[in-house]
Amino acid sequence: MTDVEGLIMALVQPLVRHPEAVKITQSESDRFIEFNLHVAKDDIGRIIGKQGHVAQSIRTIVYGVKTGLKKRVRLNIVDA
Amino acid sequence: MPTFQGNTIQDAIEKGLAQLKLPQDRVNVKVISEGKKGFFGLGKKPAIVHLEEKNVTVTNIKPAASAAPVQAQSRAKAAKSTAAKPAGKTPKKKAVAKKGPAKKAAASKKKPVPQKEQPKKPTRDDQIAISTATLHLTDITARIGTPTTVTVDRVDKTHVTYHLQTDKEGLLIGKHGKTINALQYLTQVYFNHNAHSKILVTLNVGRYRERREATLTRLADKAAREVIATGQPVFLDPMPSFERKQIHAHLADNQHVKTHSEGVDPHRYVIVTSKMTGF
Repeated sequence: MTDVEGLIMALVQPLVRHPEAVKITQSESDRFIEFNLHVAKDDIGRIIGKQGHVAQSIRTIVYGVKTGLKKRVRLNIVDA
Repeated sequence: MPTFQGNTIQDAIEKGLAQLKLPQDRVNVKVISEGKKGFFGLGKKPAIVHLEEKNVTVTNIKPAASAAPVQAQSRAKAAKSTAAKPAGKTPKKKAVAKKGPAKKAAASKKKPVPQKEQPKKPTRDDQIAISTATLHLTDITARIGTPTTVTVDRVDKTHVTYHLQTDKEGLLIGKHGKTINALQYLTQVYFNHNAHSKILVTLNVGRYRERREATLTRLADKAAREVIATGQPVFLDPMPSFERKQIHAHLADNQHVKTHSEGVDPHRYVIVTSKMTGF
């Protein structure tokens, strides 16, 4: 249904300095479909934000969408 | 200057039209009294309208009174929305007009940047930030599953409001505005990164913020009444900073209660206390 990867991209790319370095890989665990977000090293702070507020907001929006998937979505921000 | 009465506004208008033998789009309707249904016939008041034949048909009157407003609230709402419409339309046109050139400007400004050997310094321009944010918002909301039309309203130099129009308001707002507040925060962050001056961003879905403000005022008044009655402090539910601010501002005029906030975001909450007991 909803293209979660595209949504994450649309949310993240405006916020980073290196939009071309944003990558998402997908993996599946027994309860979640996990989206692993990779960004350029100096963009990690921007994506997490003060007190993790930015990361939290991104997650709020991503977890809120109807995915039509059987498992819940999880967004991991991959550090280094 | 004929006036007509009826049980409802619509009723009164119809009566008047029948007497004048005019179609509705040929008359100007001016509501004098909205009428009241009353309670078991008590306090009943007829609706009174004033009909005037139009000389020139400039605007076609929409049946503004189609749903005879009984409650003051819905009446105020209707009045507000009609009042807000023309105001809202001008920025819309502006935004549309702006979009084209602004986009081009963004494109043309972006191009020379890599040549300048300063790829890390983004162009910090308020106008570009505002218009590109519009594009991002349209994109993101479409991907959430709530396609929206976004109109920009630059309230003043330091404040921008984005009005999002969508069919699925509830989905975009989320519980107690969870989703829209998250999106608003991200937009704010985007502006902090990309705009030249400090700009405060508000996202409004339909008339959600107005509705929410009314709810908060009601909540604040209720809490204040309870505090005055019992002398005990009242703890409100956790809410984001701008909503707490509305509560503080609303109760600042109240001579009998004080407000302050406790806790850590996102679970920070307002406490209303009595001024009498002295804490």
